[in-house]
Amino acid sequence: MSVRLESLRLVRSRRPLVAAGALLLFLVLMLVGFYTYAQSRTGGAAEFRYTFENRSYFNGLTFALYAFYFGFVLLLPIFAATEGGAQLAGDTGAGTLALFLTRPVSKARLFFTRFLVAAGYTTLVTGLFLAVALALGLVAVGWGDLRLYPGVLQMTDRPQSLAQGEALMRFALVWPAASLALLAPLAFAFWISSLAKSAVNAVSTAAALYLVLYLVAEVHFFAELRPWLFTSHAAYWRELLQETPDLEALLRHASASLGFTCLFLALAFRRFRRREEGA
Amino acid sequence: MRRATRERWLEGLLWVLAALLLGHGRGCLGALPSFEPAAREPGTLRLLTWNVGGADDGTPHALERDDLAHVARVLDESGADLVLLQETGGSETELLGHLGPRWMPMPGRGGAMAFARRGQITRWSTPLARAVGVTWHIEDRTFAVLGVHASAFSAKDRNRELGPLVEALLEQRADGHILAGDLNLDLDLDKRADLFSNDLALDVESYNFVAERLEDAARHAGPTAEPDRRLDYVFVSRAFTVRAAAPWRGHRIGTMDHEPLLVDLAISGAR
Amino acid sequence: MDVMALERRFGGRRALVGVELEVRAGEIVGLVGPNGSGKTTLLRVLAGMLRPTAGTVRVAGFEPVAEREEVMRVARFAFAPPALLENLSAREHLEHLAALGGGKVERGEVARVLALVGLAERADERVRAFSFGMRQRLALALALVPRPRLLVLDEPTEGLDPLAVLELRGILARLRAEHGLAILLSSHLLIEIDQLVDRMLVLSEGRMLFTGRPAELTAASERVRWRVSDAERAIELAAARGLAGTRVGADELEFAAECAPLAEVAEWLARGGVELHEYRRTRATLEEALRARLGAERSA
Repeated sequence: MSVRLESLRLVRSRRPLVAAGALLLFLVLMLVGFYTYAQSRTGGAAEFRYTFENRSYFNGLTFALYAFYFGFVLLLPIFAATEGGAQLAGDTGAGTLALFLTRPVSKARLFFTRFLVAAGYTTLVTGLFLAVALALGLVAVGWGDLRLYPGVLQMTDRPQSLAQGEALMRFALVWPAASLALLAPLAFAFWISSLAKSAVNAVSTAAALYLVLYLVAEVHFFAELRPWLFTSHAAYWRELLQETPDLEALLRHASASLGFTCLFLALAFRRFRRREEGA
Repeated sequence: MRRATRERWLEGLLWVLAALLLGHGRGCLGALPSFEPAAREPGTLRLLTWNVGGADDGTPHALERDDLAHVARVLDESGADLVLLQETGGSETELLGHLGPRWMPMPGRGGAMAFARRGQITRWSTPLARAVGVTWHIEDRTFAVLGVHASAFSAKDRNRELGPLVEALLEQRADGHILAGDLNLDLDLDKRADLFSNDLALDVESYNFVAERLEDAARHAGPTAEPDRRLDYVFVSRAFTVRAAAPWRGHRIGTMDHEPLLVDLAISGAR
Repeated sequence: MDVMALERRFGGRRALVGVELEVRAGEIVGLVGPNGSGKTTLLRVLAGMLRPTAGTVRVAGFEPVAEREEVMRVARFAFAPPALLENLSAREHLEHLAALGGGKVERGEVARVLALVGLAERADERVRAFSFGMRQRLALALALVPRPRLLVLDEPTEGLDPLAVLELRGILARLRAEHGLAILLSSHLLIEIDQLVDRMLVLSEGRMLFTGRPAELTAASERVRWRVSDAERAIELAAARGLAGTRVGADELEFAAECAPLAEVAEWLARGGVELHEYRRTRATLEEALRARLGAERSA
């Protein structure tokens, strides 16, 4: 029953609309970029540049991949952090946590129901984002085979190609894999939310810390830290788009992501179940 | 069971799951892979490529006299059958003196050099000043090998150099082809921003050109040079199956900035 | 509900000290005190939201912190100010929250309770459009579904107009009489408390100032006043009879409540040449009695 209540609250808040609007705007900007980048770089001398030498390379699948990848790297984790941060701290700050704590429902149920709803929402947003990117790619450009090159695309380590049907099946698998990777920033935000007293503080802190950790992982000086930062494992789903995915590496990264999720959930739950309300 | 106890158990379960999952994922959590010379499959060919120069306060220099003995020891302990070095700086004779008579040297140009411990090597002419091309005769097979030190400062130069080099290599009639060395292509396949290329686009093109023709043997091995760059490569043709490939970490000394890169290859039969 | 020697500290500050409280079925107990006296802290301890530093608390036999769910199956709390879910309607509040924890809500119960608190016509509007008084009503409605055995209300009359306050009193009195509910309600407005509660606990700076029936608090303040023709002469005559009086006006004297009855006083005043114009008993209001107690406490 509390799943229904939490889902109702989520649907009626503005968060899904804001997320949908932002992601759609992002996709449109990516599409504009795809069409204009080469021309702007070459002063109109070429329609496409470097990895787009071949016109067949630029198709709806490539666009969807680019758009989803860059959206996944920064946008989706921010939305996950927003959702996670708003959950516990939102009710704490508004005083509405007392509404639930004065009902015969355990803190465990309150906590995990909220996480379940937030995880479901994140999964849905991820799937919709991917689906809309594919649809937009199809409408704007048309699908072909998915051809990947290393380097700028940074999705693969050697030139590869997946037939359209196979590529679409892999995209279908990318959805749950990417959603699982997003559970870690979501759980991280839950932890911050359990410590904060207002949703604004929780969301801004969670988003800021995520960005800091992401950037730290980018800097060469901190190369040895990377394995220990949950942000480093998030993009493991790219392995699914290889011609021959390295399943062992995939599973290890998925385990690491899930492990970080459990770690942050343990920290958040410990804090939530032990803390006093109204102290 | 009281509610409070149940909640403690639930929390405990999360901790246990976290530990188990992070433990399982530790393969990608642990240290960067490093080559293990002792773990060698029988029948494989072992190749080593190493830029033995260094950088003193950003100024590059070739192999230093003080490091000769160390380099010779590393080569000897590596178990490599064929060694390709870059930035030897004209110290080939002295290095050979440290290595001993078991090794057959083949000097190239511009600091590039080859040594063979097994089989015989004969030289062929390369179109680049910083390269050594050898034909490696071993176990009734003939392999064309090219050791390269591509431009360290210009993506355009690298782009110009690699095309003819690869073509020259593939023109050699042989059972298999190997391109190895310091290509200075820091593509950083894990999406991190590149700090060392002056034109990432051209470097990508260069890499694409080689990778479309040959297999990148050490693509999962991680960085080969300080601070976190993958600059050293071994590309092989379909004649080979890669059994192991990784930098052999912890063997840089002094101002050296590259690790030796080792690859174990099995001959697959395809040409 | 049983509270024994309850203490709660926040760092070095003692918010509650030695508080004892008992609420039985079928009685209404008032919790009174100025702002900062510890009323809300006490209610949060009873709800299991704060841990006692010392002492014991039992609600329906359960310990609120460790057995909060069991407590909430039989007790319902409504804290002030009423915190509600802005995007839900009144009806949705009741339907969803009442069902949390597997609570059984009878058919039509939600509509009945909404009608009881006067929100039937606004039941499907989102709470964000509600006034403060309407939110108070909804908070009360939430506390009644499903019907508990113990009801704890924090400042339930705040923001209500006088008519609504009267209605609330009627509702609470009915709940006690018809369903035997135990009710604990806090307020800083004594005029609402003394007409409704059976007993009251007065807190001041976390300590118990008074516990008992409201009438007991005012009983000690009872006095007798005489209005006479000659106050000076009347005082002499009273003193001769062992009665100590004080002059409270030009022709008015005040004596302790145990002084002689009217007929007797009138007779010996008349024999002494003094006319007795008025003889009346006075008692302080609850507020005056409480203020006097508080003042005495602070001077001590």
